[in-house]
Amino acid sequence: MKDVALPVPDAELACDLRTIANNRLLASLRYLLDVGKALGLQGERAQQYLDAVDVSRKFSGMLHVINDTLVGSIRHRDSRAAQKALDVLCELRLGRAEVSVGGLYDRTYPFDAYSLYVDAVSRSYRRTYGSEVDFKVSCDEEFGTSVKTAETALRRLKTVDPDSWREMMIYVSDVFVVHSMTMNASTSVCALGIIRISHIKPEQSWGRYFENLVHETAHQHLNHIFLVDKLIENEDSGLYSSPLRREPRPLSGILHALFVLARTIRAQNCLISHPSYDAVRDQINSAYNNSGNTASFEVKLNDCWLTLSQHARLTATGKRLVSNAMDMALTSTG
Amino acid sequence: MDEIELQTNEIQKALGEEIELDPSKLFAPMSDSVQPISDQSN
Repeated sequence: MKDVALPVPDAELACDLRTIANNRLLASLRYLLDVGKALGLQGERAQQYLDAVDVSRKFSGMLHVINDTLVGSIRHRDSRAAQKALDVLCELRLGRAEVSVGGLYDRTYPFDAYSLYVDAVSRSYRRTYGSEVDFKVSCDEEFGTSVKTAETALRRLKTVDPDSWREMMIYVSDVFVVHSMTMNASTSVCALGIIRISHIKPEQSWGRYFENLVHETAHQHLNHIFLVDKLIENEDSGLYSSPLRREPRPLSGILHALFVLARTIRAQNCLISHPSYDAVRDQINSAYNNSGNTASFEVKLNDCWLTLSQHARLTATGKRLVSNAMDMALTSTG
Repeated sequence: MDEIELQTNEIQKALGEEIELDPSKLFAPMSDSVQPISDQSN
C-alpha cells in the first residue's frame, strides 16, 4: 500500500484504504451477528447478504449505520431494534460506483434505513458536541435547487480537480441534502461514506458545495487513515481552540481541521489556476465559519499547525502527514 | 410482532445487563484507548 502520509488525493491509496475498511466492517458485522444469536436474532439472510458482497467495491455508507445500530442495540439487549437493523441490511443495494445526491426519505433506500441514519448521526453528534443536531428533510423547490447546485459542483470538481473527484467517488456513496439553518456539512464515522450538506441559501452558489465536498471528502480520507494508523500519542491531553468551531476540540479534531484546510487550499488553487476559471462566477466564500472566524484558509491552517506543534505528540506517521499537508497547501498556493 | 412479544422485549431490556462486546472485533479507528473524534460537523 502507498504511504498513508501522502497528502494529495490518490485513487490507489484510497482504494486500498477502503478495502481495509470494508474488511473491518464485514468482520464487525459478522461478529455482531454471532453475538446476536444469544438474543434470538434471525441472521441467516443477513449472513447470506454479507457473504455476497465484494470488499473491493464501494459499500453503501448505510452498512456503517447498520453496524452502529447493531452495536448499540445488541449491547443493550434490544432484540427488536437489532432485528429491524438486520432486516434493513438485507434490503440495501450492493456497492455502486457513482455518488448518489438525494434527500432523506427519498427512495434510494428503504424508509427505515433513513430512520436508522438519523438516529445514528444524532447520537454521534450528541456524544461529540453535547448538543442536539439541527437538520430536517429538505423539500420542494429548495431541495431541487440544492441537488442541481450540488451536481454542478461535482461536475466542476471533476473538471478542475479530477484527483479530488476520483477520491470522492471511491469513498462516498451518498450526499444527503437536508434543511438546516445552522449546519453546513457533516461527516460521521458511524455513517462513513455518507456526506450531509444543508440546503443552498439564496446568496450562495455552487462554490459553497465545491468547498463542502472537498472538505468532507478530506474528513472521509482522514477517518480511513485513523483506521489503519495511530497518528496522535496524547489524544487525551485536553481540548484546544479550533479555527473552525466555537467549542474547543481534542487534538484529533485540530488535526482534522488542519488536513481539510490544506486540502481546501489545494482544491481552491486547482480551481483558480484552471483555464475555465472566472473570477466573478467562481468565487468561494467559505461556508465553514461556525466559530465566527473570518480569517483566510491560510491563517486558519497556520492556527491549527501552531496548536499541534505546541501541544500534540504526533506519531512518526502523524508528523509526516502534518508536514506533507502543510507543504501541499503552501506549494499549491505558490 | 404482537403485543406479548413487544412486552417480552421490553422486560428483557429492563432486566438484562448490558452485553459486553469485544472492542477489538468492532469497526473502530486504531487507538490504544482513546478514540479520535468521530463526528465532523460544521
